[in-house]
Amino acid sequence: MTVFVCEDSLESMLTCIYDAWYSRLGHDNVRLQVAPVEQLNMFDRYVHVEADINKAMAVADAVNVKISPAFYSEVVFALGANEPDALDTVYRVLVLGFRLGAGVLDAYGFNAVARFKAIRIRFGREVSSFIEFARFNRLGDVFVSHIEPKSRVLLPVCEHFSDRMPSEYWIIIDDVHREAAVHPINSRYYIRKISDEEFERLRTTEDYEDSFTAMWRAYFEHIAIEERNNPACQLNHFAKWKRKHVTEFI
Amino acid sequence: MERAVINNRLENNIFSQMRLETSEDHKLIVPERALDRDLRRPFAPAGMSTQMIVGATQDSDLELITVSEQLYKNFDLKRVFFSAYVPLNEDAALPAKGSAVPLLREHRLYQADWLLRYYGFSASELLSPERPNFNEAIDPKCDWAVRHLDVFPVEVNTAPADVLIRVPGIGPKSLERIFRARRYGGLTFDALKKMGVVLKRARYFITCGGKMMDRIPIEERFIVNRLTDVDRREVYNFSDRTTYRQMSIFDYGLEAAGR
Repeated sequence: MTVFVCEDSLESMLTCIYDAWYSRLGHDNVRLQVAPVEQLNMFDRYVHVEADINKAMAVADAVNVKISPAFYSEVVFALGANEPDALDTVYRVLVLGFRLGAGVLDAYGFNAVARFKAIRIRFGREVSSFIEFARFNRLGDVFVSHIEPKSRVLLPVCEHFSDRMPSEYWIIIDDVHREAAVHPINSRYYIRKISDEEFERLRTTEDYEDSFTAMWRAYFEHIAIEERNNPACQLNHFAKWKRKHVTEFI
Repeated sequence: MERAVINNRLENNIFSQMRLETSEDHKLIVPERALDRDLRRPFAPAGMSTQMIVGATQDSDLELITVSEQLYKNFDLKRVFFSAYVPLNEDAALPAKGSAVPLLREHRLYQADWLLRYYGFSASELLSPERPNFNEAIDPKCDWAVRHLDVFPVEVNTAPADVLIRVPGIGPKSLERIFRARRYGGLTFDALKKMGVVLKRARYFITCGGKMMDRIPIEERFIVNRLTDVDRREVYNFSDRTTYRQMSIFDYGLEAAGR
């Protein structure tokens, strides 16, 4: 078994798929993994893959043209999920997809497809929880929000807010993956990597409290109905790791 | 104004339909002036919703869901919300302060509400005048299924949608997945589990390729026992609100030591 190892970014994951595919070792003889590899197997050969934009684009184009654009977006979302086997599962699904077409995502009989769907659903749930629980803080004209998701949910979260608040300046910062989505007023948002220095500066925005912070906290305290207090249910809907930057829980 | 005149005027009135269902209690709740208004006015385009307070009056579940069903059918309501009555004030006509809040009943009503809106059930199928309240031990869909064991078990690979949606453990989403997956070959219990079918409920009502998951008797009492066991934890969470905690030395130990 040959294991192709790559970095945790879309570009390098797609490159990894390209290299594994064209290694001509046979699909059953390769495995794909995202670095860091925690435990090495004795008889496996490990190949480190460097990101290459041309190879990544080749994979993206092939999926878009030969399978379907919808399939590609599913693949991108699944690759963003925080699951150890996401990359390898996507590879297996792509093998099936190129052979059988876009409809293969409905065929739960294939183990790879079933696993892919499970990953995709978990990702979707994480996205919706961060859409619900992104809390913005007003700094001058700009709304700033910090989130700490496990998966790369920034893109779908921004899609939601660009539709919701098109005429505001806002910025959503993913503290885990060090990415920020910046939305200028009345125009398209963009996502960019942030450097350590920028990250430190952006972190200071959290010390600031706008005029609504105290009001929102007071509202949250007093709206609760004693008889309906159900902490277990609350934890089910809103896990503690998601609460890090949520105003009412700080 | 005479009652008959009012009733005449209210022929198509929302409250009059409620009045058909229940007689005495609504006189308490519906103010007289509300009866004079014609409520068949155009409804808000985004959809209307309403809220029913559960447990403040003697209404049975059958009355509540029949009214909800009529509201959905005749008035295109988006949602009917149910809210367990929490006593805050002293009033002779209302439950006393400190009486238990019927949270489990509210939960069962919401489950039934979903059955009305997404599963094609009607209120009269779920409850009847002989059994006007929901079984607290198992959910309304399981309750319906065990009373209609002549329909079950159904074959997942061939059954039509309106039959499959009535199987406990299969919802609209897993139904859609089953139908998509059926085009690619036969389904197994393993595949159903991965699709999100809740097999701990569905296993008593379905076959895959002609076989049930376990060898079990298709018998009401047996299945009810098993399903009650599945729901036990949920029911307990709703009905038992005591919070037990570890005894602490400070509870009385320190005081005793000080004396």
